[in-house]
Amino acid sequence: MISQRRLRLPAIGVAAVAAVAMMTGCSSGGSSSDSGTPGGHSDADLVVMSDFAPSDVRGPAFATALAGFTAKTGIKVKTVFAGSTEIFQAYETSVLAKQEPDVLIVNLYDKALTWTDSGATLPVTDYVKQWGLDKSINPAALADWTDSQGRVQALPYTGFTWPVWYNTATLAKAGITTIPKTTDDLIAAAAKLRAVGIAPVAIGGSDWSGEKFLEQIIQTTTKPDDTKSLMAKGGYCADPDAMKGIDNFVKMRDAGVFIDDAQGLTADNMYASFLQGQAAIMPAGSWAFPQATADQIPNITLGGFPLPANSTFDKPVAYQGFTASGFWLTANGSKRLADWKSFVDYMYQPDVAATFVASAGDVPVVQIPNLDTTLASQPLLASALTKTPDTVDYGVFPDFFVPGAKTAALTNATASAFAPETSSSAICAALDSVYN
Amino acid sequence: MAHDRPQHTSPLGYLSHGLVWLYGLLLAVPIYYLLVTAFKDNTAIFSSPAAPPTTFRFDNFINAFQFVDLGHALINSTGITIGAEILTLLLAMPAAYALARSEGKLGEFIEKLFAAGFLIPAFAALVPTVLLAIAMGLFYNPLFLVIFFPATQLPLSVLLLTQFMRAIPKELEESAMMDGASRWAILWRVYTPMIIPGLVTVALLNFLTFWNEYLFSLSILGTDTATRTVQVAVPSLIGQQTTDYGLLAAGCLISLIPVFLVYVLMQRRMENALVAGAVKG
Repeated sequence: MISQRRLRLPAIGVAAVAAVAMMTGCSSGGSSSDSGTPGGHSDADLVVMSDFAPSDVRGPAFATALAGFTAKTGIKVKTVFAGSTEIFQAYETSVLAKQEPDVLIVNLYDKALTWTDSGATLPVTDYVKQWGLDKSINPAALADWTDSQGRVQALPYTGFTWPVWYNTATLAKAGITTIPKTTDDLIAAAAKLRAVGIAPVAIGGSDWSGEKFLEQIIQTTTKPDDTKSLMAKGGYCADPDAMKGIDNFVKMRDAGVFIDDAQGLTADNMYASFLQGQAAIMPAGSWAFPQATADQIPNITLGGFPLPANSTFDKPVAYQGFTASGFWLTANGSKRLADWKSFVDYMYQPDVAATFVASAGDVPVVQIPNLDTTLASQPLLASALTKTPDTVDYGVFPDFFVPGAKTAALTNATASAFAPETSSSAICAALDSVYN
Repeated sequence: MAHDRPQHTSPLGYLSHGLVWLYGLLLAVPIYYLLVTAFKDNTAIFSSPAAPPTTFRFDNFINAFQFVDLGHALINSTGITIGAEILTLLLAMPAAYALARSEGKLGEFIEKLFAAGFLIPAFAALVPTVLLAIAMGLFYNPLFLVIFFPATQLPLSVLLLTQFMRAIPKELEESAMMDGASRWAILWRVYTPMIIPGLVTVALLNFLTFWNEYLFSLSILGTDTATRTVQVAVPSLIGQQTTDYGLLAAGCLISLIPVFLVYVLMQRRMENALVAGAVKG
């Protein structure tokens, strides 16, 4: 009896594994294919990997655009969404397996800065002229995506402006009626704000927002070319101008200019503190514009960060750039270049690009007729594009020069700068250690 | 006739009770925080993180489920977890039986070899494993994880099951052999029923490991909704520059439901196994 049922249990197990394998195999992506097939779909589909997921602020505009593209061209699109933290690794492993998507839409940041050199993506330099895109795309946007060897790494699609937000209503509670223009103004304002229980400048010291902010302050005392070199190679401790900027940062930190416990906060904490009136000032990009409510918008003035007396800038400093998202050409995409071109042509149509401006606060890289109408739903973006440029100088944006492999380490190093009692020499040493 | 003596709790007993309650409370805090966060928006989360929600709207749960297609991800995770679980136990049981009954140097060496498996950090195996998946033609294929996951959990499974099997008297095996039972029959019909609590413990530990695995799932299955697991799907709710934490918390809670259900189902047997182990010292 025992012997008759000897193999029953193992047989059940093997059958179960086979069943599971069949079930999971249904969703497998034809691994034999080499045409970007991460999932069950036809090889005729154009595979687009992006972080414009449905939960992202650009999600609805992207879904509408894809539907319109298919309706117009007949080309079906297979979307592969990834979170902003996963998309870089997800793409790199797909390259390793030669199953990359046809189109990749992601910002120029971190690992993406190394892709053209490593061959993970193909430069689009030749196509910019061949397809006449140099006539339609903002030259400044193309410059942002051009590397040191003159290669256009990908086609820019959306940009950002990164001003400093001042809540005039919150400032008024402390009796401050003018926007601070100098470090001394800001320190004086900070004392008044703290006296009425309001944090002066909100910042996410533990993440990318803190890193950009520290670099923004350091470069107020350095020359642009030196700033680029510092961001690319380090050497902060040996640069007297950079040390002046760091000393200025420490002076403001010790005077209570930054929100308490900034070294442990993130950009999301920063938005919340500012939008709830707990802080009066924050440096935040245009992607955050949609978060401001209708009753808050009239009280928000956009500008730059106040300057020290020995600054190399004339006006308060802000950031801008066109690297928020771009179309990357992959090896699989190059095999169906006509479809790839159709896709980007469609996305660059002014009415399509306008939907991203209207819904997400993105800065367009192509001319959009009747931009005023489009920007009616984004008054802060309208202000940032039309009024702010006259009141600020734009600084060197770190992402263009900090090597991709150093970005995460630099963010970790800058977090310590926001901690009380971290000296200027400790801050510069932490920054330099990233490059050593 | 025995008389029950009144039980007096000593000061040390009160302290112990207090510490146990404090420990329980510490475990409950993150669950409470996750739960209340799932019903709020970012403004409420950052202004009063620990306060209960003012409304119990399920929008975050519905949106989290729809935005990242959690239904599909749950099915993928379930298939991979069950498949890997069954394969792990099918491989671990005979190995543990052999080691439990082995008295030679070779058995001792193999047992140490399994123990050495703990020394390999998962991250170190990532690149070769991805290359292996590609070479096998199983990249973007959940079947690879069904095959691969058991390799990661076999050391723990084999060593734990070996200890449970060693507790079974040899006489039972000898008696079954005298009745003509083969080694396989003894394993499945004599040993297996007697180590059910241990088997459940190992199965539960494996389930938690397989269900929560993230790095290999992301690297090998990617982020496509057709193949990704729930642990890869949930982080997709994190935006490029801004994140809706209520949505993210709701997604996390949904991903926890199967873990909770499995634990509730297996809790009693696992506790029995642990208590039995404690009594045996």
